Amino acid sequence: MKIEQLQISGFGRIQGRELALSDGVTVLYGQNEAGKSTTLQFIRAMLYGIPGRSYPTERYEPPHGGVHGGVLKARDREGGLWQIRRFAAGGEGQGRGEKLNVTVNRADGTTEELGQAELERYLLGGVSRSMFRQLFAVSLDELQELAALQSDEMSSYLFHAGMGGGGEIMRAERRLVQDAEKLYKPRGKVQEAAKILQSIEKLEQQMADSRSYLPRYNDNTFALAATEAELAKVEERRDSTSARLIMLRKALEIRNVWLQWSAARLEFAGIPQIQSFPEEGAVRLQELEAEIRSAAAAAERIERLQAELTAELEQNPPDPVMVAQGPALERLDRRRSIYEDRRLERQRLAGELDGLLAHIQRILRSIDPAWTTAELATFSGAAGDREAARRYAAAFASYDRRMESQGAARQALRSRLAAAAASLQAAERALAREQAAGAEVFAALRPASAQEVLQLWDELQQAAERWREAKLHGLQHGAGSDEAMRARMASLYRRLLLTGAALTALLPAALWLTGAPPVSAWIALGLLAAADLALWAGLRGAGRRKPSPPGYGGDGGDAAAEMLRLRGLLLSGAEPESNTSGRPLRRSSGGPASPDASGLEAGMRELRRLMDAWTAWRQKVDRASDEREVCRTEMESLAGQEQALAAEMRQEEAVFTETAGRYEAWLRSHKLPEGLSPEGLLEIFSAVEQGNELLQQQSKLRLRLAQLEAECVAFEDEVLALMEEAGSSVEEVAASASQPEMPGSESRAREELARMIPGWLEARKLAWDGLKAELLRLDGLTSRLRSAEGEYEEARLHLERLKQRRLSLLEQGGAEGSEEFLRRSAAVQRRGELEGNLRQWELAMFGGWSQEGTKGLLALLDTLDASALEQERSVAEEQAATSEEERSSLLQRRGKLLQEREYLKERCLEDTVLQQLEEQRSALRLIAGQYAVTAITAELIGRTRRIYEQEKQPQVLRLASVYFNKLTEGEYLRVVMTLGHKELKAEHRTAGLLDSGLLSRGTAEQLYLALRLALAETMARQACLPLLFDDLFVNFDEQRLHAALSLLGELSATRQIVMMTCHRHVAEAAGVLIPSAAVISV
Amino acid sequence: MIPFRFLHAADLHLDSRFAGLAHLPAAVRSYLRESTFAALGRLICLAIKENVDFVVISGDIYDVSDASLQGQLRFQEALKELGEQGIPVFLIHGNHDPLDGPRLVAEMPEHVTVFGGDAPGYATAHRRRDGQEVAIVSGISYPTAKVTANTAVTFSRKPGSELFHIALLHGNVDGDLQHETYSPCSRKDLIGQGFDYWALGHIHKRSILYEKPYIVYPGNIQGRSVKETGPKGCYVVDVRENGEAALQFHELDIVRWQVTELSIDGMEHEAQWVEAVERRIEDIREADPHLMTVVRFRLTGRGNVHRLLAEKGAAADLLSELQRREALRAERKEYPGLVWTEGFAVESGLAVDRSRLLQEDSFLGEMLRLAEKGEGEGSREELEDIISSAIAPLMENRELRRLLSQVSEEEKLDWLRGAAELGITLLSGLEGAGEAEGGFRDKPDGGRYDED
Repeated sequence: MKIEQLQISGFGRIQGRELALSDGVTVLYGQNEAGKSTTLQFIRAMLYGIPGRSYPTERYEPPHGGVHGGVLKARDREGGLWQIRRFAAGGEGQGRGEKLNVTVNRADGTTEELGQAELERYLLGGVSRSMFRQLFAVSLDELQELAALQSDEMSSYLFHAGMGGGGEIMRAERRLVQDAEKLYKPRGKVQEAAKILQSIEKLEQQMADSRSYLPRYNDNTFALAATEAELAKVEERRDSTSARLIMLRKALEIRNVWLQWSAARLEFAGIPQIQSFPEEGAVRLQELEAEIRSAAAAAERIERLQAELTAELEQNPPDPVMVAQGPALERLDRRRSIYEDRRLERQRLAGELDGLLAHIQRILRSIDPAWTTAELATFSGAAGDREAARRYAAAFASYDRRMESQGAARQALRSRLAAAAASLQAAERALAREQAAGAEVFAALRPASAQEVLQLWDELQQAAERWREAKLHGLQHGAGSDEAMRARMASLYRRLLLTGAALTALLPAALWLTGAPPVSAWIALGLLAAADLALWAGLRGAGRRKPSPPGYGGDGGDAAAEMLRLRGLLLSGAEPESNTSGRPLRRSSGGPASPDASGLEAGMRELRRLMDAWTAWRQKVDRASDEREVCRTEMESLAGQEQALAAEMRQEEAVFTETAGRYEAWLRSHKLPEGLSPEGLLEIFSAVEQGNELLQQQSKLRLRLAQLEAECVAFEDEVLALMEEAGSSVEEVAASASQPEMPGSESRAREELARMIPGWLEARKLAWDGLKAELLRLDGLTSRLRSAEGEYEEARLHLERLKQRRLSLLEQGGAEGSEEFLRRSAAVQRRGELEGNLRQWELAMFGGWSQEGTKGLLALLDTLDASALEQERSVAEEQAATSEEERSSLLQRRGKLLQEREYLKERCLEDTVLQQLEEQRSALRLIAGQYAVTAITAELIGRTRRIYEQEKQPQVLRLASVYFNKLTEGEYLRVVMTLGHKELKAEHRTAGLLDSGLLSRGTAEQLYLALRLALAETMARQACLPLLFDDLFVNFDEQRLHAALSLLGELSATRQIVMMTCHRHVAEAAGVLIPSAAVISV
Repeated sequence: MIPFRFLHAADLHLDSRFAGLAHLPAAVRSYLRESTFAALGRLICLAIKENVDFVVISGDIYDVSDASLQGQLRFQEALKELGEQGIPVFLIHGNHDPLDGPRLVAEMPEHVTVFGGDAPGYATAHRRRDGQEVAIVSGISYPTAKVTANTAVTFSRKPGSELFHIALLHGNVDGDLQHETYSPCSRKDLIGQGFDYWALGHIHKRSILYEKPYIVYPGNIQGRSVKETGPKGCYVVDVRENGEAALQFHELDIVRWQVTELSIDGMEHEAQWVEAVERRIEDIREADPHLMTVVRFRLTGRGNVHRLLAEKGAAADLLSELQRREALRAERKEYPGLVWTEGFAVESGLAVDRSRLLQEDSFLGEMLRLAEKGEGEGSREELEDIISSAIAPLMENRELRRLLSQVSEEEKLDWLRGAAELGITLLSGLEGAGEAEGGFRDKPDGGRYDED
């Protein structure tokens, strides 16, 4: 970069000044306050901005106001022209309130407007404001600021302008040291290593524990064995002592007993020994004697009782008869109520039987007075008979019904016959009347037969047609032909009527037969009858129509002749008819002779009318004759039917007569009253049935009655037999019974007897009951007697046995009598007692003791008295206590040892101290490794750095050394800087390394200048900023000034240099030493 | 010769410590601790199942340095169980359980023969089936922890016996004779003694040194550190009628150790690396689902991920996360299939051209040259100098001093290498280094090495 021109519009006191700077060295020479420093500040301000109001000394605001700023034109390496316009923004803006305008005119012709950032980056090569101020635009004050060289960025340049800079190395080194110290620091407490070391210490203490487990276990094993051995010994001793103690205690305890025992033994020895003596002899003897006494008394008592009983028995003998009859009486008494029932029933049944017989008689009488029960029984009234009766009844009934219906039919036929005859007569009469009337009216018509007339008429009509054709008039009307039509109608009506009549007759019948409700039949009949009537009326109407008189046609022309002829043929008289009805006809037909057309027409009309009437009449006649024919035919058929019916009826009558005959015969054969109707027969049947039923009942009753009779008699006989047996009582009964027997027959006697029986039986029963009680009592007595006898015998035997036993007892005791026996007994008893006592005492003393123990005890008791025993015992007790104590302590020790053993086993199971220690050591080793690597790296870097410091000064320092050498004209060899400590040293040619602080002011300034120049050379080569020095050489002597100026001259080959000075000699020297320098006076 | 079968095991190290594991959760710790006992239990079961005629154990049954009562009690129990099954046991003491060490004072049961430390003793082994004499077992124990004499040469066959001869010896065969304090001897020594089977102990790595006669290290029965990787167990030896022996290895361990290498080459993001690690762990889990595995990751290769590992502590973060997960498994007692990550050995580096850096005249070049000098073979003092001055503060602590005194040369070299990598990482113009300065310095040389 090269500054070409400065246009100072207003800066400090300078106003409107322009300066052009040359390529190489420019010296600005001027008086004090000429504006040199202001120019320096102006360039700084143009490049990096006008300082804010807070830096008034650097701001250089124009004292009288006005424009503040200017323009700087510079050229960059590529030849682009940069024009920087910068003005402070009046008074109102604070700080950076300024207007900046940067324009670049590139060598290729392009122009661009840029900002401050681009300006600094491209034009100024990234050099910061402060760096620019410290290195490039330097005043004397700033030169002497050593601190300016000590900033990090600067020092990195100082140390190593090559790779990454010394700062990086320092940082790396510092970081390594930090890292290492994070891992470990001697006497540190928080580093990882310290923590691990602490835990290792702790674990080592624990490890002492864990290492002790094995020896402790071994010790424990030994101690345990020793304790066991000792324990065995102590226990042995304890056992012997306690045995002795027990012995002594026992001896003391039993001593009293022992004394008694000894005495008893002495007494026992004194009592004679009786070998065999019955057990409990005395007592037994006494008991036996008492028993003997009581047994004798019992025997006596029983004997007495026996006598008493025998006496009582003899006093009361029982009644033998009564005894024998007893059971029979009881049985009869039980049946007595039944017997009485039977009797009552017998009487009731007899009454019923009588009633029954009367009933039968009544029935017999109702059938036939001649009838008896035998006939009743023989009359079977079987199903066959009943059937026959029914058949007869049915036959008679059907006969009656048939007769009735046939009679009715015959009656109907007769009436219909009469009606038919009447209608025939009427028809004949009508026909005759018609014929008569016709003959009268149509007498004019010549032809006799109707066909002929018709034929002639047709021809006439044709002729008239022809005639009309020939002559359009002369129309004639012939007689209408409605005759034929009417006849057709009548025949139609008739046919319909017939059909209707047939339907009227048949349909109701059919409906009746098909089981339709009679109402519908009647309705149908009514409807049909109405239809018939209508038809009939129609027929009658048709028949009644008067036939119109036939007309006569005229004739005309050719045809007229024909017509006339035909007319002539048709009409019998050519001349008019003399009939009232033919009058108009005749009148209209005009003159018959004149063949005049109108006359012909009229004649034709007349004739047509006549013909029409004639045709009607003809039809009527025909119909009437047809009707008559029909009536006749009907009448004939009815007559035939009537006759057939009459024949049938006769036949029926014959059949009936035969049936009646057969019935009579049948009645007779069954002995039934003559003239009995079959219906009455049925009544008889039921009566017979009833009668038979009653007969059966009667026989049943008779049977039952007989049975009851037999039962009663059997009972009574039995009672009588008993009475007889009873003897005396019988006579009484007989006596009472004989009285009524006299007048009555046997049955009466019996009746009497029967009446008596219950009373007797009752009395007798009572007597028997008394006897039974008596017998019971006697029986009791007898049995008591018998038992008394047995008891007596027993008592006697018992007594005998007791006596025997007493004797034997005495014998066993070896005694003559009771007294001696008792004496001996007492001796035996005492001995026994003593023996028992001895044994008891022995047991009390030695129970549970062995033979030897017993012997030992006896020996002790024999040899020692009570006090000696006591003494011995206390001695033994003491011994026992001590050994017990020893034992328990041993046991305790053993327990402890076992516990310890278990504890050790358990602990060693969980003991991971060693492993933990190993882990901690591993961790520590890891950290140590890390530390070592870090520290070694630091060490390597440090060593390399030292090599650099000592042997390989960075480029800056080397350059600075060269400059310094030149500036001092070889007085100083080089500039040295210690890495990291930032101590700048100068090596004097003879005095060696000197600290910069010790240099003289001028030399120091030269050193700093050398450094700045070197730095400026080293850094920012791209930008190659101009150097601006504000009177730096004031403290230089002449020689060094010249050296400096020469150096600057050399440097100006590659760099623009602007020097400000107020010293003429400096300006002049510059002019001399640097030929290319431009000196500008301001 | 009568055929028979025996079991050969060594170095049980019951209840000894598991080295190199830091920050174990209690559940994992207890399982690890139980693992040596579990292996012993499986050994007993195997002996019973295989119906062996006897068992020989070639020393180091437990560690006297640990003085574990638990270990000794459990061993007694195990012996008792074998006794109940009628299986005799022949054993010697090794350097970790010498005769003069603290031991459980207990009478050895009758079926157990312990050889003394003075001279190789003899014992006759019988076939269990019929009680026939089948083998002479000879052995010698360590009277003290250090036996520098070659005890192998004192062994000799029992005079007049034609039976199969088995020698029990605890020691280092063909080891470094100069520094060896554990019964050093050579293979030749053993071959010359006329024994049929040398049942050796002491070396934890399983190996058959020779086959005629057999010279066998069965290895330990349960791995205990990351140095003891792979399946661990014992040999069941069948001796045939012709005197030949057939060996069958049986695994006994329930926790297996493993070192797995994971290269960060080609990885760009942390997520890729994390995924690779997790995948590897699942692979391991699938491979040995019935075992617990302890795994160490060796992170090798060069790439940008290294910066994460070296500076941001990504490895430590992932490690704690992985351990947390597995600790949860352990809490649920899902030990089989548990994969415990012991740690990450970060041996990776940034993708820089070291050789070029070494040539360069730069601070980093200078530093690397310095480090290289330390690594050099003939410059032990240099290395010691750097390291001792670096770790001087550590040496102030007694515990650390003790610990550091055990650090091997190799480990120190590793440190140095790690330090050089760290230096590169820190100084190779990482983005964040100059941020504090603002725009003053437009990274004049910052990205230089990244461009390589």
